[in-house]
Amino acid sequence: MRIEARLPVAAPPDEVWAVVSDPCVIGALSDTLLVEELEPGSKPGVGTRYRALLRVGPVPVGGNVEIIEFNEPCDMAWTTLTGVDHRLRIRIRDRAEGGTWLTVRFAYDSPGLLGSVADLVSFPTVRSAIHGLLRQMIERVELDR
Amino acid sequence: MQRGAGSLARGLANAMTPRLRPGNLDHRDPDFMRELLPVTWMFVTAWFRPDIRGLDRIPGDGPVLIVGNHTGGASSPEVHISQLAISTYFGVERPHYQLAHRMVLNSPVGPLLRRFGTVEADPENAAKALDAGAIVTVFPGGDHEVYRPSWESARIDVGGRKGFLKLAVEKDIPIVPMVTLGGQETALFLSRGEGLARFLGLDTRLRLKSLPIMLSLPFGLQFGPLPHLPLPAKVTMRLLEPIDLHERYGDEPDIDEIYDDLVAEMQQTLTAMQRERRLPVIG
Repeated sequence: MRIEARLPVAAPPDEVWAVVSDPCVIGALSDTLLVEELEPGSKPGVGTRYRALLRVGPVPVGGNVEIIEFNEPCDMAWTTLTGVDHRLRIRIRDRAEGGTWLTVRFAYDSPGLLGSVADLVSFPTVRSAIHGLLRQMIERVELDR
Repeated sequence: MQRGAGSLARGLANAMTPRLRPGNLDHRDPDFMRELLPVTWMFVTAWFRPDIRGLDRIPGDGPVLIVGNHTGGASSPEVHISQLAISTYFGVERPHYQLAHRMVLNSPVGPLLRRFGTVEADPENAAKALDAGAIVTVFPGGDHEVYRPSWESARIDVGGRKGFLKLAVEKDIPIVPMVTLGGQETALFLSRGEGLARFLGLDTRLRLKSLPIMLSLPFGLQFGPLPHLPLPAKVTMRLLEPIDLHERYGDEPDIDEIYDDLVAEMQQTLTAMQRERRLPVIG
């Protein structure tokens, strides 16, 4: 399943990047995503690892993730190393009318036919969580200005 | 009469003995778990509406002994819920074993449970798993606690079993108490039937100390430790702060003291959970 949420932000890309490129900051501002450093003190960048869990259902779901793309100030993406397979991408692009487009993409895929059924059932909950995450990131960026 | 019943039970035990397989740690299959976890978790979540708090109290790595109260007869919801919840939270890569009665492992769902990391409740299995750095969940109350009458739902009754504490002290492993409420509402448990089990000699032949009597689906009045279709009772679970036994009780801990403290702490939590519960089954 693939979920995409996109909204404009009243801030330039650099300012958006400063907030949303650090997984720990995203975790701190969100009530749907829990993020912990696996290597305390390490800076976000390709290869940095975190524990990322999405609060959906009675137990947070996720696993250990590693940043696989870190292109300032455009893209930050991670993929899972352990736990429930997923990918997350944060995409920052200039907006012609001014400001920035901020996009969150979240893809997850459980193995097998029964896994697909579970993915379909969980889709509305995960979609709502990702949209909530995007709104919270934008609130934080605009509040920091 | 007693001789006849005893012969019947002995015959039954003999007939089953060749099929009794203890299971071992190698049966756990993370790839199989990864495939079934999403859908099984979905069904369990929809059926029991679990409310689980405190998974973050389980230490992030290393061996841990989770000690739970046992509920809900042979269909024990907390066994499945905790297994799936821990695998969902930590990932199937983190080894987690649950100790279960050999009858469970030899039931029709035994092969499935073995692949999910269930092994026979045996000190040697527990020690091996802890030595391998795994999380081990134990329900020391066993068949004594799991078949307690429904009106004793909010009572911790481990039955004085302390072997798990000796193991935790010996291995210097932290204990995380896990308290569950709701399982005893999945059927109407009337009696443990311990006298009947003794009369038939099942305690010595099949390690069964109970021959429970209950009203349940789909059979109505049911005798014996057979699975039932559980009512969709809301299950609440609380994991408490980890206990470092040597830190709290010194270099030579008194097992009886630890046992009393542990049971008291779990009972206090269960009583508070029961107070919050508004209606049976509904939660």
